[in-house]
Amino acid sequence: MIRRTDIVSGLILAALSILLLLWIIPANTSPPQSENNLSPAFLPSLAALVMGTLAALLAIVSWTSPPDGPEILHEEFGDEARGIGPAEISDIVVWSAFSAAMMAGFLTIGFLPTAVAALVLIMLYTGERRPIPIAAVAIAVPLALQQIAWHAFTVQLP
Amino acid sequence: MLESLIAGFEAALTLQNIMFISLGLVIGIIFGVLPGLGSVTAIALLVPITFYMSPLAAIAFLVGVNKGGTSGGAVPAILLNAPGTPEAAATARDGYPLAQQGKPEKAMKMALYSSIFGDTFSDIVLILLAAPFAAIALRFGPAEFTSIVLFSFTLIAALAAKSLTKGVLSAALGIFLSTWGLDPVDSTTRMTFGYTELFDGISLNALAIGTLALSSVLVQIMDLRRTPPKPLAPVVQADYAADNKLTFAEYWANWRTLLRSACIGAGVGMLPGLGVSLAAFLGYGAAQRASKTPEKFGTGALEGLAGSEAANSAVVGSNLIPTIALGIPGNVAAALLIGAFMIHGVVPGPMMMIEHAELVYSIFAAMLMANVLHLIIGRIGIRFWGQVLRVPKTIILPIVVILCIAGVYIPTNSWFDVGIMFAFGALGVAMRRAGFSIVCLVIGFLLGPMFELSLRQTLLMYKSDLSILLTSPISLTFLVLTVFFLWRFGPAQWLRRRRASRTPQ
Repeated sequence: MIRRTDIVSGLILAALSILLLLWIIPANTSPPQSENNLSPAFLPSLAALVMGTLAALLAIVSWTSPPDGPEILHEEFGDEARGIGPAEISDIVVWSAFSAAMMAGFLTIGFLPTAVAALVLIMLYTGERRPIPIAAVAIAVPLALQQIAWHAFTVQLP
Repeated sequence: MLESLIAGFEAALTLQNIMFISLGLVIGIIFGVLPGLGSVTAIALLVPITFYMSPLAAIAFLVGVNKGGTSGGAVPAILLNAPGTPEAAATARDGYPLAQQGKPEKAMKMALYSSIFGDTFSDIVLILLAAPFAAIALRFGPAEFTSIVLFSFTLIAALAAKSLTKGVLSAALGIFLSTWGLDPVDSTTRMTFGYTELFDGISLNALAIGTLALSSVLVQIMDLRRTPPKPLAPVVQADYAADNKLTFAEYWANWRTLLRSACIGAGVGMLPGLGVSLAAFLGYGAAQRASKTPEKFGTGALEGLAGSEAANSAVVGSNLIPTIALGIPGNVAAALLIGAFMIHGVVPGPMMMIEHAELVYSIFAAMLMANVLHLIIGRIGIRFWGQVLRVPKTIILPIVVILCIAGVYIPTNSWFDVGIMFAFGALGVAMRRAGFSIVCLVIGFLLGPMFELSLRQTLLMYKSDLSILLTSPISLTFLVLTVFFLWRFGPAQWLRRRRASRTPQ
């Protein structure tokens, strides 16, 4: 799955880089204001160009490489780096929806009720089923944070 | 230097600083004990909170977290053969067998004392070398800094990331993200997409907490859903109280190993990109090769514990040498400390030793104090740290998610930054699964502005003539090293792998 992930991510990043270079960066930067000065678009464009070139290289090298051999653990992430498949994509979609719901909650009903609900849902998602620990943590942690934020930092969590 | 250090102790030796260092150590040890969290997550979460502290208290607190987190990872490695941090994997090789023999406390004491030895050695190296390195760096101009930053990107991508292509790609993404906001010279908007909240650029806190802390926790939550955790095995208790005693003679019999590993760790820490894990395994390997009884390694040898723990802890102090002298972080923890410095208006780099000399030496003094406090707190808490392991991940991980939210909101009162953090959490999950280095992303983000500033200064000073990068001896040296590392870890490695795959077994 790693090889397929490398090919697909290389292609996506290469396409994204082209989009950045041709549209997003020119539309969101201004020309240079003085002589002998770099254009504000220079470094973003250079970074996008490097990304695009390396992404294309990654896709090509992965395409021409032999199929995945025995798994070698990733130095930084260990066995977390197992490639992106349907399960991983659904995880990211679930997180995106959940975080959007949390943001809506923070902005409308405030920190405390949203954090309580979020804690309950995340604990249930991880497989925690004992009602007393769930209730205790879901109520105590946001309350404690709210008190610490006010008394230690004079910040009112909304 | 000695006078400055004594003055530093006068400033650092206050009840408030002692309390903050102690708190940092306790938090760091707890985060290090809990598998999957670690000192990087703790520092990322706590950097924004230090906004409300004085610069000295803030840095001393975070250094305490870093020291505690590095040594805390040894506890689950010894008790459960499940390292709390990657660098504790070498510690598990002898720590766990020793615990299985009914001597868990003895193993934890050896790990703690070795860790403090390495830490202290590394702090002394930092104190001795930071000023001379900074003095050399003062002679560097914008052209030299441009080349040094380019070299740093390449070195970190080559050594920290398994794939050079993915490492440099991540660093380039970090640089691209660092350009969002107002142009530093012209003050025109750049990739703000109409949001005034982005005029100051993407918040380092949001990016660091999202990619480092939140994404790590999210991946563990997602994996927990698929694979419920196994029940923890009971810890083997000692039959006799004497089994858990560690005499001074037993400890000091390993002085050569301690010193060797501390030197290895300090050397590794000075070079950007070489991780703490590398130091731990190098220290362990060197200890085994030099040992009179190498066959005992892996069966509960105190020498093995000393070798790995002294080395991995010796990275912490020496890592600050390139950070303070050049403003270039040696690893992610140092990168986050740069963020903390900048929150307090202190810009790491060669001028730091001139403009903030008192603060720097006070920090050095606080680091030495932290080692003493680490000894006391670590020793007292030895029976307690193991109990922390008993708290289920299904409880801890959701709490950390809420801590991430509070950690981003409290210093800025901005839900926009919380939203940015959520987005980087998702990006971090994708990067972890696809094997793209988050370390390179964060360091690219941090060094991007330095690279742009030094390049633009070079262009202005030399009227757009970039040949100065080739005519300056220092700049040319670093450019040649950049090309060497790009070749060595790029095409050369690819050719080697291809030849190896074609060679019949």
